[in-house]
Amino acid sequence: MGFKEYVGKRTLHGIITIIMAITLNFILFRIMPGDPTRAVSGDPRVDTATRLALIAKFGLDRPLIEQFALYIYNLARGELGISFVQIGRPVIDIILGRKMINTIILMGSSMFIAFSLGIIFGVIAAWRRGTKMDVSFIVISLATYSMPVFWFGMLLLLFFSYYINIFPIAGTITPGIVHPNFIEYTKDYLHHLMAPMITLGVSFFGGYFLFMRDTILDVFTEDYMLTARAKGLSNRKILFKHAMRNALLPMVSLMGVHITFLISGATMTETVFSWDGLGRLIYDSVRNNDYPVLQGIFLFMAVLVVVANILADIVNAYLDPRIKEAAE
Amino acid sequence: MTSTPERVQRERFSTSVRRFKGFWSLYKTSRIGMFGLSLVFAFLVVALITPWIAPYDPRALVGGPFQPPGEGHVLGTDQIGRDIFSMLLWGSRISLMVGLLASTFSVAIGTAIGLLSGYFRGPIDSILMRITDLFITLPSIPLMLILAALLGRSVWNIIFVIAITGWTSTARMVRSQTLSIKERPYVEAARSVGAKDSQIMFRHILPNIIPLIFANAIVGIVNAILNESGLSFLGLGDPTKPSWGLILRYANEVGAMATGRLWFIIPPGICIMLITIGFAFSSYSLDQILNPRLRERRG
Amino acid sequence: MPVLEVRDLVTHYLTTQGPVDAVSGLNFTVEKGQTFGLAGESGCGKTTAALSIMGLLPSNGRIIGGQIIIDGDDLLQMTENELKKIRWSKVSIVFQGAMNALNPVLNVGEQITEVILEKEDGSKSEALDRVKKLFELVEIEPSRIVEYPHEFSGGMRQRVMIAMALANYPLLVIADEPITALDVIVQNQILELMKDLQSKLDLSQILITHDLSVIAETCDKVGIMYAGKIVEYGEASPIFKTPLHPYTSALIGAYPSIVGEKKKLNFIPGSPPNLINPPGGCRFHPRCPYAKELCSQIEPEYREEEPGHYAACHYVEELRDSLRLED
Repeated sequence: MGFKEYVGKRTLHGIITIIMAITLNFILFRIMPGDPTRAVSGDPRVDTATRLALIAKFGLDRPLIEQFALYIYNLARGELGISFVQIGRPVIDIILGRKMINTIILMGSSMFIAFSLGIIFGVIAAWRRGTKMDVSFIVISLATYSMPVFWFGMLLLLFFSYYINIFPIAGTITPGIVHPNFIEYTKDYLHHLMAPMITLGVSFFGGYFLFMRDTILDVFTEDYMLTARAKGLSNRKILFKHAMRNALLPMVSLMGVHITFLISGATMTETVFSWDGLGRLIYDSVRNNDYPVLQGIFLFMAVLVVVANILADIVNAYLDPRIKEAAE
Repeated sequence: MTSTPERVQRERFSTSVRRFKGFWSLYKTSRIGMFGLSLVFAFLVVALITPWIAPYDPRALVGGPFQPPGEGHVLGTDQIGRDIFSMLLWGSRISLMVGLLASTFSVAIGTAIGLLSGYFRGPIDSILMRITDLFITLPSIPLMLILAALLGRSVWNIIFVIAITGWTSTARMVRSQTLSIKERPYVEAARSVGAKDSQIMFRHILPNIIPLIFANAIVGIVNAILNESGLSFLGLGDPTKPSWGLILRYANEVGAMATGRLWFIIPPGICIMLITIGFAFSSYSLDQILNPRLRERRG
Repeated sequence: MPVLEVRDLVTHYLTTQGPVDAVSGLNFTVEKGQTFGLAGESGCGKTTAALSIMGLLPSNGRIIGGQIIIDGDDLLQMTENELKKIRWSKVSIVFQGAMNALNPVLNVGEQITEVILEKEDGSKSEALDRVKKLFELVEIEPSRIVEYPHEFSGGMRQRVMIAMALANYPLLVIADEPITALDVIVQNQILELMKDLQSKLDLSQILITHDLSVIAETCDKVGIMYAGKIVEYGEASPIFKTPLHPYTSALIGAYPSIVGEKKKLNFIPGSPPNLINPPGGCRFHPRCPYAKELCSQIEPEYREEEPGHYAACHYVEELRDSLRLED
């Protein structure tokens, strides 16, 4: 099938999955024991007027099918309910705002570091297989893989915030300070970003490193690598032009799969560092039983993961000439 | 000379024993594998004898708050006075229990689905594969979080949640193995002499994939343990059970990092690390043995 | 001066069971414009010889001794960097089964221009021009230089490999089983192409194959290899007409002839020997129909039996008539 067809098919798959996620979201929150939305009626934090409005809006007194239809209708209008904790504030406002940006910056920067360092060192380690460099990186990767993300973050805070004061202890910016201009603000922000970014980045580095190293070692056994060596090309060309390009293909797919772990990692990291993002929001919402927010976040994350996977697959298809050219 | 059913059973048993011995002698040569196995074994032993060696009841208040390691408390106390060392010991039981059970369940589900799917093909296969795809594409971590939040905080819920999100890789693997084994001559032969489906599945196909299933299970344990500690850390675990993740949650909540209480922070994490390394190394060696291509590359 | 001189080449592979004596004292020369055929069963060491010449042995391969002299320089005295310089510029290689010998994620033009630009000065467009000309030479549409390897059929891919091998106008081209992986009709086409190029470009070649019919068609000189040693060596015609070594005769007899009467095919019983512990004396003796006691005890001397015709057998004179190809 041609490239365009592949994109179309893949997107369709994704849409179906999102629909399934939406449905699952609905079912989970309505049908699960301790049905929380029904708990709206009994939750003392919600005042009567709001309660009645909610019941009307979400049809909580109607049969399930009608509720579902209403749910979809509300969803289409961006109506995700009202937070139990921040009384009156629409869930969608809470999610799509400052917090989302903070989380995306954290996830994006960590992923970028983990990926770039992972592939470069993975390639070099594969080339220098068995040397001290290779073995030490493998040990580091295994160590970070078996360390829970949140614990690593806690250690980082312990040693580099408490014992040696390099990193700030929490938050996205120093509380209480008003910054004179954007540059100052950015500097403060980045200063706060360092520790959580390193935590999340390091925890993913291991996975990328090991996978890249493994893939490159596989690539080394391919015939075209012998051809590349036979041509007397420089080591750099052999490694980075011939081997790495082939090894990058499965890496892209791996990134798609990693999104879901990135989300969980971000959740832990934000909790440890009090980084004001969606992950921290999950933690707080769980503590406070703020179900509408939880429901909204789940939906958001599900869509994010599906979209990321679709993108990863499409990029993979684009980069691999074998798939791209198939029908032309 | 016709074989009696007894004899056939005995032969089958001795073949399995021989195969196992073969694996074991190969496994023994791997230093990484033996190191991992010894860690696992150590934790197993500790978990089993905890009731006899733990100095205090992990839930009891036996000292002042935030006591550093010293008199009577090897690792000090937590914010309300519970003995951290005892909590650590009892925590090993939680981690191991959740890890082993969750992984077993998820592998069982996966194997059942994979076997049925691969063996019967047709509509059963389609439906089961659609379901598998659904679970694969739905993000597991958010799903785990939400389920855990909704179901309530108990150990069994955690086990359920981890199992229900982790079976897909086993299912896929078992299905593809079943598909290929199904075509082999001895299966054809069995079918032609009238063996029942269940017999073929359990006597012929399943024994061949047990090693791979086992390898999958070990990886599953690693993930289960990490997931359990993560969920406990986030407050979704059982508050009555002193899991290592829970201890770290307390540490975080009371700002142990900001006050330098490292005896609170470091030991639970080290335990999680060590037990994970133990299983991960074992799984690595197992993989080396089972995956012939990796073996070639070692040269 | 010959283009290539190999003297007493010894190559081992290190394995957990001991060193494999893959090439055990190889001697041959290739003159300018000549095609030298290296023939033998799989596992006899011919590919190892090729890899040794190029310096491309796997990590457990070791060249223990000998000399490989290309254009006057001994390759075994060179550093890796020096070797890199002569690779492809002085000697290039066409591998068997170009299925995977070309990198799937780079287009074919790129794969050839990169080696031109690596070895010579010049612009990218000049390199591309040369690639186009090379494609014409091997009968591929020049416009196809932007295509990817998977877009070519097996035979076409092999043509690309040949074009690539010629890209830097090397002194010597090694072809390791160049047509074995192709289907029969394509085999013939590529063979014709190679003969054509040979005469057009006055190429010096080493052709490695187990297929004696190919050797008969294309080679000027032949070396018959068995178990890491050359057992017979000389000009093609005399070797085929009057083979002096039992193995050569058996190899020739193993190929059916379309013309002539139907004969029972002679196959060679047994299988190639274990080279960690090769048979004592003559390495072929366990499978040789003429073997006597001496053969298992003393290794036969490699002698010039006739001008330019060498063989390693104790009983050359005695077997001369029996081995002769029946007309």
